[in-house]
Amino acid sequence: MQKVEPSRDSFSSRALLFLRTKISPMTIFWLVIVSILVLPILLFLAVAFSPKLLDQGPEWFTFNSFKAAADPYFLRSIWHSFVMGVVSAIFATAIALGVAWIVLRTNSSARKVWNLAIFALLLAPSYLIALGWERIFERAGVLNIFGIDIPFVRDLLYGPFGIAMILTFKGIPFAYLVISNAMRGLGEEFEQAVRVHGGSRLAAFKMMSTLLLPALWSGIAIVFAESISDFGVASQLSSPGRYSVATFTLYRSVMSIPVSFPLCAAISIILLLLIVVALLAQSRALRGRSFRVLSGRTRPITRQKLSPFGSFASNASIYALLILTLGVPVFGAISASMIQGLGTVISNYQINFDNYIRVIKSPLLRSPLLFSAEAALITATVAVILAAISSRMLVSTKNGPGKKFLDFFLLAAVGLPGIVFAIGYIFAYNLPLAQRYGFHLYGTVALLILAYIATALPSTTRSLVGNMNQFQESLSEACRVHGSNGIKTWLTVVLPLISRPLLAAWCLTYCGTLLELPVSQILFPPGHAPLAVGIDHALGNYDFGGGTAMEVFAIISALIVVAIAFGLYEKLAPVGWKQLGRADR
Amino acid sequence: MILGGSVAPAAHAADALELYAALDYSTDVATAFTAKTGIPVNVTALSTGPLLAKITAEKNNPQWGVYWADGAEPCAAFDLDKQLLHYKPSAHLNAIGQKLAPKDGAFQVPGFTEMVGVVYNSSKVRKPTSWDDLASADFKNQVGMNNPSISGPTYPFLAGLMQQFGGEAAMKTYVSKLKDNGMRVFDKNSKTLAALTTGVINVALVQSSAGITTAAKYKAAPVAGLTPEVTYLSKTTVLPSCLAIDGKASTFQQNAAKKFADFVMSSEAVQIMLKSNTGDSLFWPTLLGSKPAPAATRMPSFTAGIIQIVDPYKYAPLQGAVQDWFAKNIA
Repeated sequence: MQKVEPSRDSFSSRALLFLRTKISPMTIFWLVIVSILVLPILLFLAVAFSPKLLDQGPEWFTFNSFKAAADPYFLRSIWHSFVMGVVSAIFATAIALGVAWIVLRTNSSARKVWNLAIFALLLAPSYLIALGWERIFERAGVLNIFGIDIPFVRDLLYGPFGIAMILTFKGIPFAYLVISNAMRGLGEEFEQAVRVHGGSRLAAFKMMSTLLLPALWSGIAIVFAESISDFGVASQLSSPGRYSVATFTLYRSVMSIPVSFPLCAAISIILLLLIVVALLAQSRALRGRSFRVLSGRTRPITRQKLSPFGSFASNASIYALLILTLGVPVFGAISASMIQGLGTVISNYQINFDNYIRVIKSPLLRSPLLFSAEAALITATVAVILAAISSRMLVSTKNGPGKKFLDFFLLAAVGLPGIVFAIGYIFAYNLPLAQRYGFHLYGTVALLILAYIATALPSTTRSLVGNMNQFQESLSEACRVHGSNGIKTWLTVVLPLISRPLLAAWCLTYCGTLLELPVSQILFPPGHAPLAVGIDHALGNYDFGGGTAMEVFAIISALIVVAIAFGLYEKLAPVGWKQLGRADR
Repeated sequence: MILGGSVAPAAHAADALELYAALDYSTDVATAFTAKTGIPVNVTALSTGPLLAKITAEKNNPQWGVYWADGAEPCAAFDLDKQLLHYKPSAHLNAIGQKLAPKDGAFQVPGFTEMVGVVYNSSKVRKPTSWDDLASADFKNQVGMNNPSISGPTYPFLAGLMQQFGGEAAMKTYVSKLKDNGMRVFDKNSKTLAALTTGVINVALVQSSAGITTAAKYKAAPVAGLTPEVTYLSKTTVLPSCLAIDGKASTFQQNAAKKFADFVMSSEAVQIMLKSNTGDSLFWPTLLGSKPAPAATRMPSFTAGIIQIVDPYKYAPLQGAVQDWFAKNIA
């Protein structure tokens, strides 16, 4: 009997059929999430229990790392981090709500300044904000030069008050972006309904705040997670003031010689437990409620006309906030990069642009800036796509294990300081097994960008949750009922309604990636030093002026990209896309 | 730029020597080595802390061929963990070099600096004369030092105090006295020196190369009221710059690393390091007949007993506990 060989064509078509039926777009999404987020985090945390798994100790299973982490010093620093996180989250969100109302709902003239300043605020690294305040109040600082010495303010700055203040300032733009996106999607009709039925302006504001609860809780969760994982403020103020916080303790453990990753992993697990508390609080607050108010029929808002006193008060508030949050770090940057000899002698200092002229010609700036800009562009684009899908999943009414799984790992990625996240990438992608099968991602630019995407994904997702929560499911369901597939529904219904928040999220991610340091430091391939590594190198070589000048250049370049992005949106986006959230002037 | 380097590791590990270095002149030396031998070198240049974190994280699958940084304690720790390839280049070393380099070739020592150079603002305070002097009323609230948990070169300074004062307890007593006298702690050389130049402190205990750089900078461009000068107290601890080869690297990496070690321990490489015009260039070479950079010539006397050498193998195992104590009590 003649043997029949299966034809190649039938094998290929069977393989294609298998791929099409078994590997859906959501499967690819989950593969990406597991690869870039779950695997590095799990492997890093696993080392706390099983150091030998990755050759970090002799034990296959142990709780010894937790015994070391239970040291009163560590526990105190974790408690401090928790307190700082809660305080900064609440204050930042409250301030952001007030600012969002002034900017989006009133005719305050300061709103235009705020819209310009918000991205500069996002870009200002937290350590630069801390440095600016130090320059003013430190011994032989600016106030000292003028004969003013206020020791008790200096002591406040180097303690919990100073740390909480600066973490609050740093958290305001994150909370503002989330709240403002949601507020834009909230039409005026709800507040009008309250007023028509005799409610006061305060009652209308309370009602609006209630509808914004998902965004407020998202803001609180983001700021809490960002605050407890922040290292910049901790490194500037925590050590001098001896108010230890977990990130400084954790960073010290990673940078210590010898390094103990099991101990770092144990501290990280405890930090993550704090984040679980934040998640539970958020879930409890939003349980059983619907906040779906976003649709194509949402009416443009009519701005409230403020009284002369109201105008004065709102403008003064915005400008005061900008002076505190942006003016001070700008002063810090100027004093570090332009004034020669500030603080060294009384009234003997010079202002010049020598540092700027020097760095603009330096190869330490040009190539790293171009490299980081390209990396930030790719990261922002991919992260926004993944974040849009993730945020839709997070607000879905179906409470499956996938949603909880995603929620936890997204916040875990925020709560883990960047440097330990980067170490997780080494654990995951430097496995001998991976390299044996030809999987050589470690040491490549691709891995660095994957890590950037994973680092950016949580904040970007949270920034979109508020809007996605307002999106009425019936819109997309109607589309599907009328024959549209999932992708067409997304492009024709979802995208127009959230186009502006997506743009804001893209800009947020671009800015955050451009000056990202800890992941860059650990994962950059030789010959491709990112900008932040170059700046850190300059500062480490006592070139404070040059390093800070490079930072100022980077911030200006990012602001130019943001301006171009918004300009292109205004020029090219369909008119209907720009209607949503628009206020009648 | 991105797409070009996206998925291919830079000159794959099988083809290039992987150099992990925390010294600014390492790139210049690597470039010259490649020009001479044709062996490409991928330089990962970071400060000591992130570098060691990376090496430790890669432990189950090391990617480095050569580690090169200040401080012998990490190399001693690697050697105690049996991670290093022992190799002895045929270079002739001077008297200090012979004392610094391990006899079994565990790692090489092309040069050294001092921990600490005491940088004082002579416009504001007098020259300190001894360690006890720094704890006196004349220097109350005037002194700053680096955090050994962040600054790689600083633990050897504490190790030197342990050796000089007779043990860990005595060192802790002394450092606590400094703390009680208002000493402040900053992350590393750059921040401690920034505190000096802004008048927050008037005495900085930093690595000698950093101190000499600062003093030279303000000598060239004087600022009224700020005159940093460098002195050395008895005893000052020698801080070797150490080059180690990974014992688990591939045959190619190890062979290339040996050639690199030979090159580094040559007069040609020493001249490149000295002329590299970086802060790290202000070191004292161990190669017989080599002279340091002009700015670094005033080295404290070894024969007069001003400087001391500590055994890294003795003090490396104590590093974690000492740094932990420092973080909780002094920093």
